[in-house]
Amino acid sequence: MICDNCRKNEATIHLIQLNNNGEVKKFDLCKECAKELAFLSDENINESEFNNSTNILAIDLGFFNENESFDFFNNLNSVNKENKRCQYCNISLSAIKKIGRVGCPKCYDEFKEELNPLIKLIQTGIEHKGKIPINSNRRLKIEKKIKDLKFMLEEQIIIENFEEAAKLRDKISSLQKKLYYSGRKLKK
Amino acid sequence: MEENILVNQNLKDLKFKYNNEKQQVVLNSYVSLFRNISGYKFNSVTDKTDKEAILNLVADVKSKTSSLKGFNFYNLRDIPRLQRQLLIDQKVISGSTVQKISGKAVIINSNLVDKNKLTAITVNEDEHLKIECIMPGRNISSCYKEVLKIEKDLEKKLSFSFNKNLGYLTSNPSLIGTGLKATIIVHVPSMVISTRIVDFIKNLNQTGYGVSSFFGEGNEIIGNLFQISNLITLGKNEESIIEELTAISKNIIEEEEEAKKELKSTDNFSIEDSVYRSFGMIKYAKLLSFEESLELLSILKFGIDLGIIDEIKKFDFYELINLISDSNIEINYIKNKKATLDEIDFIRACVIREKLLKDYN
Ligand SMILES: [Zn+2]
Ligand SMILES: [Zn+2]
Repeated sequence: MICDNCRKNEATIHLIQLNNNGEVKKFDLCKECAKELAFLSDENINESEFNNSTNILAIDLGFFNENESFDFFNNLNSVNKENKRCQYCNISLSAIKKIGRVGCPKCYDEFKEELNPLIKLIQTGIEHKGKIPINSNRRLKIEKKIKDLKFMLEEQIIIENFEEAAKLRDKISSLQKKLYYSGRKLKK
Repeated sequence: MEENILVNQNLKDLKFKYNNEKQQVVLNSYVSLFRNISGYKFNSVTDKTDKEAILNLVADVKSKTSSLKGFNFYNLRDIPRLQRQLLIDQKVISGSTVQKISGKAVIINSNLVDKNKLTAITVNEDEHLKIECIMPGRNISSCYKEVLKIEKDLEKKLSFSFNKNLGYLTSNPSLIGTGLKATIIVHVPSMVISTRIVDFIKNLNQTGYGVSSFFGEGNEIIGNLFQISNLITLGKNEESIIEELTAISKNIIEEEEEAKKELKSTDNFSIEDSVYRSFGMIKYAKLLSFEESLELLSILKFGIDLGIIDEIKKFDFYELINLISDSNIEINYIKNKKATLDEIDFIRACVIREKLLKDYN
C-alpha cells in the first residue's frame, strides 16, 4: 500500500478519521508523512504497541489534532456534539475519540451514530456472528437462530436449492411461533 | 513469599519442546478472550472503588470455580519486579501494566501438570477480564478450546456485557463481537532474506490479519520474528477466526520451506558471509544485548538449517531466546541483587557460547 501523501513510500500507518457528520475517511500514510503532518509525535510512533495494527482505532482516534493545514480536520468545529455525554457513564464523545475506547456498554447505543460507521470500517459489518452467552435469555437465542436460518435460506434460494430452502422456511416459522409464545409468557 | 516462588517456577518451567523441525517456524500460539462484567462501567472510566469491586468479585468467583482450583490469584502489586517482567515477556500481562499495577490481578495456573500450556486470566487491564492461553508451536485451536472452557466456567457465576447486534462488548471497539484475539509468533528468516515476506504480509492485511514485528518497535524487524493476529472480531464467528489463522500458520510453514529451498539452490556469498560473521560475534563478543542476540541466533539457526555452517551445535531457537531475556538472566544467573546492564549482557554472551560452541568448557 502506497502512502496517500507522498505517493512514494510504503504506507504503514493507517488513520481512520471520523468526522462529526459521521463520515469516515481512511488515510494510509508512511511513517515520515505521519510525523510531518503532525498527526503523531515521535513518541507515539515509537510506542511498540502502535505497530500492532489491532490498535489502529485506539491510536487513530487519539490523534485527531485540529490541524488546519490539512483538510481532513476541517470538520471539527461542531463543539456541541463533541461535548455530548453518555448518560450512563458520563464519558464525552471527545474523550472517546481521545482515548479510542468507550466508557460503558451503553455507549454503543448512546453514540451509535458516531461509532457505527467506524465499526463498519474496522470490522466486517456490524452484526455479531459468533457465540452468545450461555445465560443470555432463551428469546435472544431464538432470535439469533432465526436470523442465521434466514441467511441460510437466502443462500439456498440463490443456488436454487428449493428443497433445502423449504426445510429452512419451515424451521424458521416454527421458531417464530416459539418466539411468539415465549414473548407472551414473559409478559404474564 | 512462597506464593511468589510459585509464579517463578511456573514460568521457568514453561519449556517449549519441539519434536518436529517444522515447528520452529511457528514458535508460539496465543488466544485471548476479552470480557467485561455486566453492571460495571468499562475500565476506561472506572475508578479505584469500581476496580476493587471487580477484583473482589472475580476473586470470589475464582474461589468457587472448581476448574480454577489449580490456579493462583495474585494482585500485581504483590508480584516482585522480576517475576512481573517475566509475565510481561511472556505476554501474559501488558507492558504498560507495570506503570499502574494497583487494582490489577492475574490468575495463573500454578500446578505444573501441563508444562506445555500457560493459562491466565488478567483482571482489570484495559478490559475487565482477559482469558488467555499460550502454547508452543502451532496450537491455535487447542488454545481456543482451553480459553473457551474457562470462559464457560466463569460464565456460570458471572454475566458478561453482551448485545445481540454487537456481541460481547469491550471498551475498545476493535475487540467487540467475539472479543477474540488469536496470535501466532513466527520465525521466518528465509522469507525475510528472499523478501517473500512483503507479499505475504500484504495478502494477510487484505484478509483481515495484521502482521507486526514481535520484538522490534515500529517497522524494525528483530530476529526475523513476527506476530500475526486477527484484526476483525465482529462479523465473523470464533471458528472461522481459529480456522483461518490455523490455515495461515500452515501456509507460512510451507512458504518458509520454499524460500529456504530456493536460497539453498543459489550460491550466495553474502548469506554465507552473514552466517559466519554471526558465528564470529557469538564466539568472541563479550557483551551481547538481547536484540543483537536475537539477530545473531536467527541467522545462525538459518545457517544450520541451510547446511551452511556446522561449527556450532544444533539448538532450540525458541527455548534459547526465552532463556536469554533480561528477566530470565536475572532470575537464573544473578540472584538477590539488581544487575547492571553490562552484567546482564556479559552473562547473556556466556550463555549463548555455552549453548552453541562445540568446544566450550
Ligand atoms: Zn509518505
Ligand atoms: Zn457510556
